[in-house]
Amino acid sequence: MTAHLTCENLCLSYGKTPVLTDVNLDLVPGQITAIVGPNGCGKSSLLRCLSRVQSPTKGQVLLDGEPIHKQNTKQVARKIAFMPQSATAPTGMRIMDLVLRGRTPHQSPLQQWTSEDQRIVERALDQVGLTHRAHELLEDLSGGQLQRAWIAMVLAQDTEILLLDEPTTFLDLAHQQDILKLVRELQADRGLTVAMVLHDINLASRFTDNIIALRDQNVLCSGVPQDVITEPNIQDIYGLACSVIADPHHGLPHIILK
Amino acid sequence: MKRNTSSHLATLAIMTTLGLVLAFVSLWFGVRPLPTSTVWQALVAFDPSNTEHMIVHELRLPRAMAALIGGGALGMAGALMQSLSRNPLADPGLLGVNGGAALGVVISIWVLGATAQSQLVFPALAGAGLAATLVLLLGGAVRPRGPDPTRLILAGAAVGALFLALTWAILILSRESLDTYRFWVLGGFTGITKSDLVALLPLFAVSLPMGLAAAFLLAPLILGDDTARALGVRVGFVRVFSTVAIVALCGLTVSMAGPIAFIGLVVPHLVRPLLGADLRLVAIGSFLTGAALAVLADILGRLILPGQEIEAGATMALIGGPSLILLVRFRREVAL
Repeated sequence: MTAHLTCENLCLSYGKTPVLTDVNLDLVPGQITAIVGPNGCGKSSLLRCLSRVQSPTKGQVLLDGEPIHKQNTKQVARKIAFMPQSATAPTGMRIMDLVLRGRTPHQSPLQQWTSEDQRIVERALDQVGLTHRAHELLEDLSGGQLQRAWIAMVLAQDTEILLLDEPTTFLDLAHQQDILKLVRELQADRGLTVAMVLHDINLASRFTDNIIALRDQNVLCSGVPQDVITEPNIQDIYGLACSVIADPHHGLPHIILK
Repeated sequence: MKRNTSSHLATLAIMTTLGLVLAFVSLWFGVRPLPTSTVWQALVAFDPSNTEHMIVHELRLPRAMAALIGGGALGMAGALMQSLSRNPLADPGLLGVNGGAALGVVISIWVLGATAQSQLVFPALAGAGLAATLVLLLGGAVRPRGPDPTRLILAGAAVGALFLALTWAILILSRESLDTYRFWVLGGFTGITKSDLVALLPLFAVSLPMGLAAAFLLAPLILGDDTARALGVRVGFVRVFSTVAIVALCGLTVSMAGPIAFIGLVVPHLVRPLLGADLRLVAIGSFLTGAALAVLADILGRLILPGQEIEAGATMALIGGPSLILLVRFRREVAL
């Protein structure tokens, strides 16, 4: 039974500036959804609302039908994990220290560390391939490794829903692919529901099951990549003229800019 | 994991031993030289009719305990303050409690004619409490998202400055206040009596566990507010709770011993290279190291000029200044 995250008439404004207006969406349980759209369209804000990090001005985010902003924060954090965009850790922190933090919602002042925590942290480190580097300092890691360490942290949270804000930022092409492959493996292995903000439409097409496209504070279109990545939609989302072809390896939609 | 934990426990054990040994040794130092055997006898076979035993029991023991508790409280408050404000140069004094305590002290001297150090404890506590409340309110503690650390420090600076200005205004009006104030403001553990300590102990017994709890609560905030919220941390509540713990620890210490600089600032920097970035460990280590350092400063104050005492607040500045320079110069700093 996978948790089901939806939102209803979600509105968010910073002061008088509207950021999201009446957004309705439904993350398909057990699938990967990409959130795409131009800069400033509200992608990150949407993900922050979905993760309970940001309170919406109006409307609700529902987890299995219950509004998350009214629930106990720890209960929600055991179901939804969120990796912020360009998350920062202080220097002097080791990979292990970071991953252990993921256990926070499962701990209480009287119960700090259990063998269950140990097992889950070891599994998370193993799945991102950092078991043997667990004692290295975060500042000594490359961009790709650092992103893996952060993913291990959210995995250690042991949730059914994973929200990732631009997990591929600052990574080269090979490492972007590497991280997205990892997300796909993890999703398949753990049956996770994943939503992530991505900038590269072609990568979104290749590695996700659904795409939600935002434009001007609202959802412009959503669905499987074949439905969303069309020439008129790309024109509407980004104002770009392009051709959409079937990529020769997987037959998935691939955009070529004009 | 295991290896790290046991080496950290060993470090904490060494810090504890150091503090206790220094406190024990400090019983032998004072204006009046006492033979080793007499001090020992006062501890193991106390005789209330013996004046020398009374010196150990009524003055030196409370003084050593006050230095341990006060130094520890400042060390812990410093670790919490630097983590709360994400600023390695933050000192708990930035929250304005010293200014509030100073005002309480001069008002009690001026209006009530207080002169003895122990008469100043509760007025200082009242002043520190008033300043802390103002800082919390101005710093946004009642806003739904909780206080903003920068706002808190600005509020602390403003309230501290206002209270110090009022303090000076009173001191200009009343010369005799200046004489008592001058002694108080140096900061130190000389004037502490057993009854002061006994009166303050229950308050420390509440605020030290609060400080420890704040360290556990603040620890996840090290990854940023967003990550902490996503991990289920109630960031606003944690900030209010931690600020209350910090001002309680500092307010109690300044009331007991006057303003003592540098412990809150320097001690966390001494501790982090030994214990790493985990605030829970750093706060405990800062308590133990702050305690040891305060006792050391108090001992040195009794040694530097034979037959005279220099207040621990002054010797602490002598130790603290150069050690901060050395740390900045040679250590690979573990940041926040």
